[in-house]
This record gives sequence, C-alpha cells and structure tokens, in this order.
Amino acid sequence: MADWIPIALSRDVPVGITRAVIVDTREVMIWRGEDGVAQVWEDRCPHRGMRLSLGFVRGNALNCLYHGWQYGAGANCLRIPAHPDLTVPPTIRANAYAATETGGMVWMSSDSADPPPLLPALTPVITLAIEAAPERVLAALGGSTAEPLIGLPFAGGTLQLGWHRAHAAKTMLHATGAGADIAAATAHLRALRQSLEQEAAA
Amino acid sequence: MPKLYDYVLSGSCYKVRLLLSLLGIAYETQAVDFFPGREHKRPEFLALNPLGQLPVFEDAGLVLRDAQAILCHLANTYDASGQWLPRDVRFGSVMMWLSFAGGELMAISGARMIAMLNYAGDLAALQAKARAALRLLDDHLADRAQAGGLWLVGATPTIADIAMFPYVALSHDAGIGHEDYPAINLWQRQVRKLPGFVGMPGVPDYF
Repeated sequence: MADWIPIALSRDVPVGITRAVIVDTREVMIWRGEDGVAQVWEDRCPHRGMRLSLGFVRGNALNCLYHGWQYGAGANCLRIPAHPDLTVPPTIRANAYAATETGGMVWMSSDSADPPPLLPALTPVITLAIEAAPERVLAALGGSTAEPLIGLPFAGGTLQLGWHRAHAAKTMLHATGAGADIAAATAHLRALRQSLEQEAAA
Repeated sequence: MPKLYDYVLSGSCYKVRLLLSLLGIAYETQAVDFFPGREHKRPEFLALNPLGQLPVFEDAGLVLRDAQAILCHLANTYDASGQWLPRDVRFGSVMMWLSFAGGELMAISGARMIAMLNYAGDLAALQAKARAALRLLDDHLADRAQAGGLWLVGATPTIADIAMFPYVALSHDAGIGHEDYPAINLWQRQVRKLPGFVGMPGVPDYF
C-alpha cells in the first residue's frame, strides 16, 4: 500500500467537526479545530476505548464523549474533568497518524517515511463508498492500487480520484476536478458506482 | 396539556419529543414499559392504539398514533410561522421524506431492536436495507450541499429533517456507522445545532 493515503475530501471536514473513516479495517477519525489543521487519529480514546469520532471539538481540542478527557492538537491529554487539579502526564495521549492536506483531500500516513504528496488545489466533487474490492474498482477505472490517485477522463477534462481501502470489499473514492461541472461529474460517478457494484454482486 | 405516551429508548417517540422541544411546547409524558414489559400490547394501550405501537399523542381530545402524523399535527397546530410544515411547493417533498422516515428508514429501527433488545429477526437483511436507505439520504444531502442547501427540503429545517434525524443518529445502535456518509455527517451536526435541540440516550446533546 502507498505510504500516504487520501481518506476524505477536505470540504467534508470543516472546522469544529469530527468524521469517522475506516481505513483498511482500522477505525480512524479526522477532526479539525479552530486553527484549521486537520488531525487524523486512531478512533479510540486511550482511557476507555470510546470512539473519539463521537466526541466534540471545542477550540483546538477534542473531547471524548464518555468522560470528557480532552486532547490537544499534539494528541496529548490536556485535561481530565474528574481530576480537575491534575497535571496530566504527557504519556497519556491519543494515537495520532501523520496527516496533511493537498489537492482538496485529507491524507494520512502510518509511518510517514516518504514526504507527503504535493498537488495543485483541486475542486471537491464527491466521496462515494463503493461496495467492491479496490483491485476491481481501480482496474475498471484504468488505474492500479499501486497509486493513490487516478486520472479519469470526463467531459473533455480530467477528474482526479483519490481512493482508500475501507476493507477487502469496499472502496472509498474521493473525487476532485478542476473546472468540472460538479453535478454532472457526481452523476457520472454514481453511475459508475452502480455498475461496479452490480458487477461485484454478480 | 398535551400528553405523549413515551418510551425513552424509542427513536419514534424521540421524533415527537424533539419537535415539541424545538417548538417550545409544554407537555406531559406517560412512560410506557415497552421493554421488557410489552405494555404497548396490553388492552389498556391497545384501546389507545389498536396497532400496539408507540408513540401515541393526546391533544385537546385528539388521540393520534404514528410519529409522522404527530409531527404534522404539531407543526399544523403550533407553528404559526409555517416553517416546519410549509404549505407551498415544498409540501410534497416534505411528505415524501416523512413517508421514507416511517418506511424504508425504519429498517434501522428493526436492526436496532435485534442488536440492542435481542428481538428475533434477520439482522444482516435489515442492515442491508438500512444501508440502502442511508445511501439514498446521503446522495440527496450531497446534492443539496452542492446547491448550497443545508436541509432536506428548502432553505429552513422542516419536519422532514426531524422525522429523519432520530434513526439516522441511532444507526450506531444497529451496528451501522456513518463512515460511508459524509453528507449525513455534516447534516446531522446542523440538526444538533438547532435552538431547543434535545438528545436521548445514544444521541448526545453535544456536537
């Protein structure tokens, strides 16, 4: 698998929101505080294992819904409401992945051995979940699972599609396009989703 | 005072509680022991609703069943602005989503009762139907967002949003997360931000 993986359209993660994503069967979450920086973490509070995507953002901190443990942008725990006077040990931290944004998408990396990709600004079109294996989807699009992006000719231009594997039989496509008719591109991609799923089910 | 026959874990009762709160209507509740007592199948309750289903709403001599019908009654009676049940070109679209909320989307309720209360049934089949309903909703909300719209119908929230929200928000109880549905994720946050919003067990007030 490529080192850097596109996991969402930046547009779908505005300031103040959490978003759950499944990446190769791992539960991952994205959140964005007021500083505008997208954070990509394991979707699990180190305290009791609660999914952090069910929590809430205040300022530049993410709060777990279960007991209110609060984590800052550096993934370290800032505050434990049940022990308001405690200086929280720096060893208490959420599990953060390396994250970056480029080409209108949020990207994550488990080891960040390679530098992150650098793409021009691209207009977000749509994220689609396709109930078919990535190998099948990428082959149908004329790409390969070796690359995190595919160029799809559309209406005289090209849509840039990021993708990630949710699990063996589900592909998430993150479509962008410079100057594309968004509604027409969306309809085109939904038709593609339908034919890929019908083939996968056959 | 209006009276809601209520079960705290019911997403359908929550539809009614949510709109009552958003409209600021004072009401009383009578708790019905849906589980494990099956009070909704006893003769006293069947006299109120022969279908043996929650919620039931009593208001000025009316006895109403069906959450969607009760939402219509509340908007029709208490919302002078007409925002929640618009009588113009939006009316048909609002009705369409109400039917969907009481129809296809209830697959989530069925799956949730199996997953949460150990009811008998085909969980995988209901989850597949629930996913189909959620995809339809996500596609619609994505189209609305591309056109600059935040709500299911028109420029303001309507009872269509209130009828749809509870079981979408409760889908986690049925083993269905929102990972596949980015537009739903954005919309449900808008619903939570409405003045007067209330949650229920499984639907936090926080956003």
